[in-house]
Amino acid sequence: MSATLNSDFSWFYNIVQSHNLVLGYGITTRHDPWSRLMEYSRSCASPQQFCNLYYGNTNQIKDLERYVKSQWNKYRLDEFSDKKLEWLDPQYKIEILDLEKLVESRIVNYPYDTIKKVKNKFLPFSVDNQGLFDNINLESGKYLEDIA
Amino acid sequence: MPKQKIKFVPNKEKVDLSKIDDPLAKKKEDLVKKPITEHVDQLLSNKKFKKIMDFYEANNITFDSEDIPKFELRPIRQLLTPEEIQRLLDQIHACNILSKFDFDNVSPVCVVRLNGDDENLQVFDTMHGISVIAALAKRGRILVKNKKTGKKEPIKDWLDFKYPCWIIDTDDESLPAVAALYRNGEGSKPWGAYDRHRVYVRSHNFYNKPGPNGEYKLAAEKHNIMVSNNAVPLPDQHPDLGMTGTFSRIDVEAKKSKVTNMDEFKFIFDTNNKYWKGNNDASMFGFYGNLYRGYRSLGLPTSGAEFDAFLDELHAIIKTFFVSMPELKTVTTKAYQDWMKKQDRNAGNPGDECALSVVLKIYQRLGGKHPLLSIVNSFVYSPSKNVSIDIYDSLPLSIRQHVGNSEL
Repeated sequence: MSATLNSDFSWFYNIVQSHNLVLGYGITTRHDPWSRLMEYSRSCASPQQFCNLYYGNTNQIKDLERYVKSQWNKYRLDEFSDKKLEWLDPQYKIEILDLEKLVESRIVNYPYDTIKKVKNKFLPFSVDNQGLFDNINLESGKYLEDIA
Repeated sequence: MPKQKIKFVPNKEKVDLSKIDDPLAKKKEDLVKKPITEHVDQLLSNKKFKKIMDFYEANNITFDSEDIPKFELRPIRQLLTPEEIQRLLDQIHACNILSKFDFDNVSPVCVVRLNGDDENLQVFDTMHGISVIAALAKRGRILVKNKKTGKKEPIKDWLDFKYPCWIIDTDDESLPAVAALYRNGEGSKPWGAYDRHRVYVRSHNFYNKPGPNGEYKLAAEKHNIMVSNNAVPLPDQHPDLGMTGTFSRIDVEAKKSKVTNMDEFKFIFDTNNKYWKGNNDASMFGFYGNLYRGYRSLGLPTSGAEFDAFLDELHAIIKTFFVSMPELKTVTTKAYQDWMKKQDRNAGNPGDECALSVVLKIYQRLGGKHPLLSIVNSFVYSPSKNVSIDIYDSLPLSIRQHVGNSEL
């Protein structure tokens, strides 16, 4: 990681809603992504999971989200709101691997030098994983890997 | 602890403009004239549109064609502008209409005939247009054919001049004001900056018209500079808008359209493309525009190896500490608001020189050697002789620490 303070780190997540399989993404600046996941789970009364998690400098995470939003603006759902949502319209049949490819290509090529991916063995991140990343800033190598 | 050397790391993404459906890249012969059926099909496949239509069907809501307002030629003496309904007469707007007057550019007047009162028709739309027409008639500038002689001449009594009116018959006195609001508000979709750009560019490219004061030609030249720098202007709602290589803020460019300095315009887009490759944020105008004008006003070069090396260093600062131009704007705006708060002043958004000033302050702290613009000393508040509050100190601590641990 760079010399930026770890307190300025945030998460970018991918989510496939368990009850309708709609794919989405978002960011949270909270230390534990669990509380964000619980917001999704409570609002639909169904346990949700983050399929992928990326961790890095908050400005880089925000810029990554801005990129995904704008790059795939035309695929975003525009129901239930006057604004387009961070959910991808199922009619376009976009899969989690497509999103993963877009995100990781951007991270590598832009590049966002602080953003790393949570290792597969810690994924998907579920409602049972509260506090899993409490020590992430002390043991980043245990939880995170570079994107190839 | 040794300082970390920063350098600009270029974006390796490829920009593929061929994936962007640029309306202005089409040749005249490739532009289609859509039949009404195509739009109907498009609308009926829209979920929101279909829901409204389904609601009408479910509730057996229909619309009687006899309710369509009537078209009539009416003498302008019968047209009244009720204060209850209309806005104040905008005389500058009327001057604009008059200076470019052409009957082809004016709409019929929308009026209400309340309770069948045929002599007092209440104007609720095209008030400015009909006011200008009436003034032209009064001054004998409108010719009508004399039925007896067949000659065209000014009408004897200008108030007898007849103009097409779209007449709504009603006994609802409250209708005209609401109808006026609907037509000029939620029921209308005004043409915006992109539409003007589109018309200007096509008028030049298709019909070789330079436009008044060369505006069409200028728009076409700017368009070419933008496209060649991976910034294809697109209208709102265009499905490709947001993709790398597109440019959404033609409205910001339009505000600058009075700047006819094409060298500056080219500098802005060339520099933005060199460092951000198709990632186009409107903040480029403020950042690069101020940079260009600042050095030109000092008589210093804005090109050449030395200046290029300076630009590399500035962009190493932006990318290392702020990530991107949009994030630079976000962070410096927050810093500005914090800096103003320290002065007990409320703040909105800073001027467009703020981001450049902050980046130059960092450049100075990192020991940069290139001559600096005076705005490096801006955004410093000195409430007393020995106290000064610099916007730099309102940047997030993490950024200031990062700057402290870095060198050029």
